[in-house]
Amino acid sequence: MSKFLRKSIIWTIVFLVLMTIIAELSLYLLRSSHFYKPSFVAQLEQKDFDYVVLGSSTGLTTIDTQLLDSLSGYEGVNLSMDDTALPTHYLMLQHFYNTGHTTKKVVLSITPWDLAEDTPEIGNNDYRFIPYINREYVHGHLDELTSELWNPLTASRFFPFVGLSYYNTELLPPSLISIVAPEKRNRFDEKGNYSYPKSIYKPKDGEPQVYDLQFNNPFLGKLEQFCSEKGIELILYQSPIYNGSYKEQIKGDHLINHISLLDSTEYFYDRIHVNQKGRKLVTSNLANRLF
Amino acid sequence: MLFNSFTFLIFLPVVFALFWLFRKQLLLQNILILIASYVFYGWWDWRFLSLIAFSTIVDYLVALQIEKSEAPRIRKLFLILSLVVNLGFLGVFKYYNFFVESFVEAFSSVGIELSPSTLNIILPVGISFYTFQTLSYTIDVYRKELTPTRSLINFAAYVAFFPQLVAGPIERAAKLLPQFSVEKKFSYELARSGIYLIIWGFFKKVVVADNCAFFVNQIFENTEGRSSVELFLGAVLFAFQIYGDFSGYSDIAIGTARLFGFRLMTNFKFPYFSRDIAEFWRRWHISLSTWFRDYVYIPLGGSRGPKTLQLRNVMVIFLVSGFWHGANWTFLVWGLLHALFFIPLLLQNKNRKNLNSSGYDFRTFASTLYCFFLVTIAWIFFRAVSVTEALLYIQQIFLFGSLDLGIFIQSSKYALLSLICLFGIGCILIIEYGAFTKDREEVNLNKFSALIISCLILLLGSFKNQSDFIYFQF
Repeated sequence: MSKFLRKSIIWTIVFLVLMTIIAELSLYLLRSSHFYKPSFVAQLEQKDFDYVVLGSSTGLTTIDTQLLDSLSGYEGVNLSMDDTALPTHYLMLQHFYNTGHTTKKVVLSITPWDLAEDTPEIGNNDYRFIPYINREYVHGHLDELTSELWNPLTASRFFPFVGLSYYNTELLPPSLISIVAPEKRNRFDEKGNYSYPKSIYKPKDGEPQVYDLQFNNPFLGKLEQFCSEKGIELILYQSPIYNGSYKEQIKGDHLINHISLLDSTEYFYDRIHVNQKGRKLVTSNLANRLF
Repeated sequence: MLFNSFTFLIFLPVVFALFWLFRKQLLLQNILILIASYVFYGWWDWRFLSLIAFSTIVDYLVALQIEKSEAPRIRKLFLILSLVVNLGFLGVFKYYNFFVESFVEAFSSVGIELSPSTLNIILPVGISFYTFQTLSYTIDVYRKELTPTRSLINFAAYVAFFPQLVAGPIERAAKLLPQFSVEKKFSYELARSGIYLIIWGFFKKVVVADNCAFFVNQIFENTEGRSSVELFLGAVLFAFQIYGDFSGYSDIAIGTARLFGFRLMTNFKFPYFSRDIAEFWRRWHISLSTWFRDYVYIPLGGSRGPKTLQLRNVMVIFLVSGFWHGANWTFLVWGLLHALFFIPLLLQNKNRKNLNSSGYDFRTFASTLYCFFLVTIAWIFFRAVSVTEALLYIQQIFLFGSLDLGIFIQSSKYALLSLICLFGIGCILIIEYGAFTKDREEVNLNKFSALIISCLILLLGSFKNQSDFIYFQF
């Protein structure tokens, strides 16, 4: 028995050490790369920006910071990540500041369903922050969002191979790719933008959608507080939704409402995302409103 | 509780430590196994523990009564009681709705509309496995091949033994029950081989089965517009999914049992290297096929008597085997197909041709491919929701329409997962081929290969898209 226990312990340690080395190496490569947004942000050479765009896929694909810069003469970057929500936007802004960057304005791309969410959870793409899990603001944020005893994201702080294993297909290949192409980005350009193809939306039903805007999400308050502490102007931006409108007319200096800006399917990729044509039109309009 | 869960990662070392802490105290060890097994099962749904407990008590008492009485009529009566209770549970929980719905459909086809009530019941996990295990006990006692145990604890621990409770191997009382009466001495070699088997089982489950399931589920759920190549590869991946899933579970079960000093029977012996269907059934789910052989096929006459009788027996055993898997016509057709593949071998007296794995050459490789092809076609019925869907699936394959790889390369993520499946299957074939040609019972790992495989499990395993063990539903 003692031989079995001794050998089991030795080989378990060897296994854990080996996996930790692989995981640390992989996370180091990811940190050094531009592949995912958090690493891209950390690698940005320019430190001070006039504005940044935060949001999910709507922020990522609606606001073209390249065009916005050329129209306004200001310098901005798109920090949006697809398949995310307010908690991740908040984390991204913290990450942006903690990697030595600043901004004067934050354009926060909102959605009615995200604002209404009163019990936010860890986002589907939050694993992209695993390379920075040792940083208190990342671990603390993820820890706050989970009530589980064991979560692969938060456990990665102590056992980095846990997160790497759980998200192996998402993390391991990019880290290998970054050995040969550290500048490669995962579906966004050098200003952080991505655009959907030119294809035109073919609605299955054209029923208008009316949204009741409810500000339940606690992370909106956190974002407001963070911006106020750092002296950042926070602007909420509602991107176009095909056949969508708000139940009540909402006005304010810090809200730009484009929900019904575009009324033709030729500007949409799907119901909530604009295509390249729509993106150009929306960004031009936004430039006039924003600056 | 699932083997591939965080809970089991805690549960196993705790039970292991306590078990060997009670060394030389057999009763305490057996009580611990019993409690651990009930916790293991109750983790899923504690209400169904009463079923196991009831079945255990009935068979324990019935076996003692059978032994006590000399009169054949009384003995038979007690055997029938055991059969009624065990098969009754199985019938109610597993087959009741199927029979009711089939009757309604049959009457409906001749214009008579019935509106019976079906039961909204959950199928207790592993009911087919532990029912067969307890049945074999009473039948063996009835046949005077086994002396019933006087210890209820030992018997209850045998029935509920957690490593193999929910998905086998279906252990015979004659082999496993006596092990509960023998003082356990820790064997380093046995425990080490157990660890290696657990690692190999996890590789098959987490790397191969769960990654294959990613494609298989999507392909079988939506066949429309898919190319012949996609559908054929979908069926091939299902063949490896079910093998990785089920044989992986068996390996983990056997390995876990070894940590406690128990030896369970080999359940899979590299079945996809079989050169004909008869050999496949000597290598696939051995504990079930030998169960049917001993308790159904041989009592029916087996391979004795005229060929017509033999054909009937073969047909019966394959259909019953199909029906054991589930209350659906798809399983019956699956069994029927295997019978039809087997019968030509029986008629030519070739069903016992490939008894060992020596002499593997190009011709035998072609036979292996042909056998795998037949097995894969039959798996389509096993996986499909209905017989009609399975037939449409096969039809679409053989229309030889588009040769597009479709889903397997639809995005970089899908292409990557395809490569992982290919790699995992390649690993299984290479490692198991080595064991197959040496006529081994199981793969032979060493500490370095076990270390590499453990790393591969973490690096390539599908943890985010984990699926339940397929055989839990049976």
